[in-house]
Amino acid sequence: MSAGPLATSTRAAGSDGGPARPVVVVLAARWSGDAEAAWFTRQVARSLLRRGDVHVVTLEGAKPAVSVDHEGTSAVDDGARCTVHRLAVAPAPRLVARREVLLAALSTVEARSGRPTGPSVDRLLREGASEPWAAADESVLGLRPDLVVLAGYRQVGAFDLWGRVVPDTPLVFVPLADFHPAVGLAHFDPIFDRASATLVATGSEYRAVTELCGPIRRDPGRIHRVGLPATIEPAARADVERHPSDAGPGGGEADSGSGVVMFTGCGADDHDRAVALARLAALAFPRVRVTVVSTDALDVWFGGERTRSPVPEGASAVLRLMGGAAMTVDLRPGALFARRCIDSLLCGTPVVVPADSRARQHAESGAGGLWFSSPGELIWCVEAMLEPDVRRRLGAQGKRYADAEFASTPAFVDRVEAVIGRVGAR
Amino acid sequence: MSQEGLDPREFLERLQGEHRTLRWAPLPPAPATQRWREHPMTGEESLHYLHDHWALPDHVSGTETGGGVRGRIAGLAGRLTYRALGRYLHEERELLAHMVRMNDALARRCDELARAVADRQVADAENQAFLAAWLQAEPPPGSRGESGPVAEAVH
Repeated sequence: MSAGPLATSTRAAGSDGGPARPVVVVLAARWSGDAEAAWFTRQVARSLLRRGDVHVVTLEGAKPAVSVDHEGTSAVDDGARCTVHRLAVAPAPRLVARREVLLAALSTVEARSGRPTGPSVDRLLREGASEPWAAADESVLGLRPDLVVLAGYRQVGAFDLWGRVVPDTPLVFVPLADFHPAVGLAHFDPIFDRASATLVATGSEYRAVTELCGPIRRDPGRIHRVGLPATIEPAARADVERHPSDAGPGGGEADSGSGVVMFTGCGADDHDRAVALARLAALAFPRVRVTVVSTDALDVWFGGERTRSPVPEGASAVLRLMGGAAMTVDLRPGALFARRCIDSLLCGTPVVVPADSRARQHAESGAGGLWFSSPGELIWCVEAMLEPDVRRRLGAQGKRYADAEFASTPAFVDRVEAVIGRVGAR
Repeated sequence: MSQEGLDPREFLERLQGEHRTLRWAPLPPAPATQRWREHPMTGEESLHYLHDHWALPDHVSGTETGGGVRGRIAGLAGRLTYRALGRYLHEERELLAHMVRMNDALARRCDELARAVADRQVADAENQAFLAAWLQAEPPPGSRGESGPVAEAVH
């Protein structure tokens, strides 16, 4: 990085007599887990390790603790450390529930209006948002950060912390804007307004934020699409590519890769639309091996019979399922960038996804699959994709797209660093 | 295998065009079931006639034979006849009674079956209409909390 706050730390020299290492504070409500938002936050934070120490302040944890993020720290070899400060503060469930209800209600009428939120509603939305973050005031002040990164547009309390403690420190905003229209509420405009730069992952998120958020609409130069790092570890990808036909129940010997893998995103016995859709597809194609992956079970439908087994553990097992199948049907893709669909495309397997999901970008822009708006369309899409020529062409196109967009961690780090450089140049 | 690119949007539009002509609607209940409901078998005139006339006479009454010598001779002959054929006539009466009861039960069962068939057809049609709507209709925006302005804007 040639410029920017990370290159111009104002702190005292380091203990080894060399220049002090810049400090980046990342404020993130969630740091651990498989959720796309937490994963993307970790990737952004770890990409900043190249040029400075990163301190993550998060609300999660069973008790207050400070620990080293070994996974991130081990990825760099110049001594930079990623430290996680767990505040172990849970926002009051009653206030969280009320905020969710209010946001859902306001989103239906106010998200695109650009009207400021009324003071009484604004007060209700803010109630209880700042308290959990107040525990971090002293530690953030003591860290004397050169840069603050705020993850999650709903973290108004973290934004208040920045404004209260280190308001002169440049702020980079990672909104993690899913498809909920609440991101367009004027209640969140101050964050977009004060942030020196806004980082988004995909083209879908870029378009959503650009269209819905007033400050960004007025000044689109402040938003930067940084894409994603590699979503699949190289070793896991090599494993899948080495055994393309050894796919277990998703493809396997019986149908030579013509099986369908479906993800419902909920329990196997839930009364859920996704479960009903999966069963409909399984019943519609009795001669095709349909593997339905739920959160608690893996059901294989074939020849009119259903076999239930535990969900295979490990990312590689799921990747092998997708890699050996004719198509991946993701009935509830991730809300931020549909990582599972990207993984499927990287394996060369085309996808079938809901039309009103972020995954559609991969099917449409990446030409890597089809999308459906109704259960009937889902059946047509699956039927069409069972044609070898169709699935081979879409699979090849999707793989080229995913390889170009989502397979390089160094390119992602370069893009993040470039944005940080621009923040310093302003 | 074709090596040309495949535009998923064009491909989907073609798929939708092909399937648009295949949209189906559930079969309505058959008109016969309505007739069965309006004219139940238990309301048949013949059944009423059978109920009214199944009991044949099993003895000779004095009023039927009349008075005088001729009447007494006719009464005596009648009594002799009924005494000689009484067992047969009694069994025939029982037989007729059972036949009438059987006809009555069959008429009731017919009406019950007609009602069951009609109810089932209505339920099937309703179920198929629901399935057709589910298969063919687009979910209303926001029905799953996953669509709405953002999703529209994105695509």
